[in-house]
Amino acid sequence: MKNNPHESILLGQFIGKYLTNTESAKEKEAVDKWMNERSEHKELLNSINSNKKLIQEYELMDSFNEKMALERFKEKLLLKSKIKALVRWRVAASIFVLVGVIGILYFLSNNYSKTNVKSNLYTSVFTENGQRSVVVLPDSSIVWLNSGTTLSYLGDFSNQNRKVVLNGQAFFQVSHKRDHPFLVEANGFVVTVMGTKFDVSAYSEVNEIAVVLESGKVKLTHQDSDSFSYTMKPGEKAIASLADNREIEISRVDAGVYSSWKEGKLIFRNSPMKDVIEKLRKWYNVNIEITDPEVYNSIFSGTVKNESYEEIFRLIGIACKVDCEIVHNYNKEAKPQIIISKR
Amino acid sequence: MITEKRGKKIKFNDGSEIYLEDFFNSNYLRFNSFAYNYLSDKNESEDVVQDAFISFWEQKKTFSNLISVKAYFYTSIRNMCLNRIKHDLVKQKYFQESQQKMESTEFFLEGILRKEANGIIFNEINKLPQMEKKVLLLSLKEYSNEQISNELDIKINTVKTHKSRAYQVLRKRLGNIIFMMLTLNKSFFNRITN
Repeated sequence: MKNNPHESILLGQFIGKYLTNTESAKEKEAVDKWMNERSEHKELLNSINSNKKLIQEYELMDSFNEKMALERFKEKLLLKSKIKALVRWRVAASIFVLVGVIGILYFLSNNYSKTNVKSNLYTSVFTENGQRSVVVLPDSSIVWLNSGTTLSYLGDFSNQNRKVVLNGQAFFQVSHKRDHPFLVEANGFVVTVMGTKFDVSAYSEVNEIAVVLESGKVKLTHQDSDSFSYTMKPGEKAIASLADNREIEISRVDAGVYSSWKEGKLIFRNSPMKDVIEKLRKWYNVNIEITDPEVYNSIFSGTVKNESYEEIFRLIGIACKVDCEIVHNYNKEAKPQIIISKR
Repeated sequence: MITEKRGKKIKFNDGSEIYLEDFFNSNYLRFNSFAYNYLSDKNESEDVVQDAFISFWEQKKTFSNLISVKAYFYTSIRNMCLNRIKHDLVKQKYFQESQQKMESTEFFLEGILRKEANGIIFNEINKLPQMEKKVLLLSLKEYSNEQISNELDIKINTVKTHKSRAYQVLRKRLGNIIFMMLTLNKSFFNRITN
């Protein structure tokens, strides 16, 4: 075998043809030559041609669904090229994705004339815990909503007036509109962007905002403070909290990993247990109880995709050396409970 | 369908081109089964291959020919797989022993060679008529003619006919041929060098 992938590809193809009697004279010559170079080559050829390997490889290839994969690929390309279509999201079969779209009429005051009614029509998209969703806004920006998130915008949202209100976590892929910034308001903070990709996490119960910028430029400000302003660079994560006099904490993160939830995956890389628990609680819509504070000292790395919560907590148990007890609640309304304790 | 397919092509430096969709179809299974060498997880392998296709398409790189596109895919799939293993504590535990092997060039190149060969064999087997294919797959699983005849509810003689036709596709005599050549060559060389 020569030392580059090109050679391996060609030889592999020759061997495939050779073993199916479809090779040309030249190809046969090449295989013969290769075969006689080293005894390992003959062994390799024999191994490829053994019944055991032949059936094993056949069944492995046969187990993948090409057609579905091609559809998935095309869907992704469509989404990427921003054709305005609501794309069905491939998430784990065990997880329901529901989009609740509620149009709420707010007649704020009688001062508004009839022509203004349309502009006061609020559209809210929400996801419950355990659900995720994707929305295409009228300006063709795309927003992925993580679990337990509400995104609202006024009826007069347009290419000129682009403002949304967020409670929860969302990833924004904002279409570029010259002179018309896109505003995200969350927990009193305002993120101003032109056209870029970024992740905003601002659940109302934590009183802070975390913004991760994947590409482009965004500005972070606060409604009530003129002095508070920070312009982020790609790859940065900014956490600003209401409590600490709106101090801002900047760190660098892998933006792709941070926002992996939008691909239906949760990726943890050396994440503190507190984060892991918080995210899994929303992801699976389960209750998690920690009996020993020491559990919080653990860190966890792993990728969650199609796994059931039983499986994930079993893995956390192994990796972090803690006990995860799962209490199934057969009352339909109640959530399953996971009790994590020190081993 | 056709118009959509027309839209996306991979163009090569020499002016030739191929439909992205055709390229996807003829390589998807090989790439997946190659990624599976590293990850031992079908879902994750599919993810990696999808990501590889997406980033390939987004990068809009130009390549000199089809083989160099494939080489690019194999290389990036390998890197993505190794990256995943490195960053996944749970996986690292499973893969600790085999990590060194997986990072080696030999493992990479042998993987490519095997998957390209197996991809062609897979296609050829699928070209067989339904019954011949079934008989072949069962006999690869070391079923006896009698067991196959029971399994498929056909006569033993029919099994034999299907089998001999199907085996024309697979060069089953190979095992013996190689062994003979090996011994012949060795003695031949010895004589010359002496």
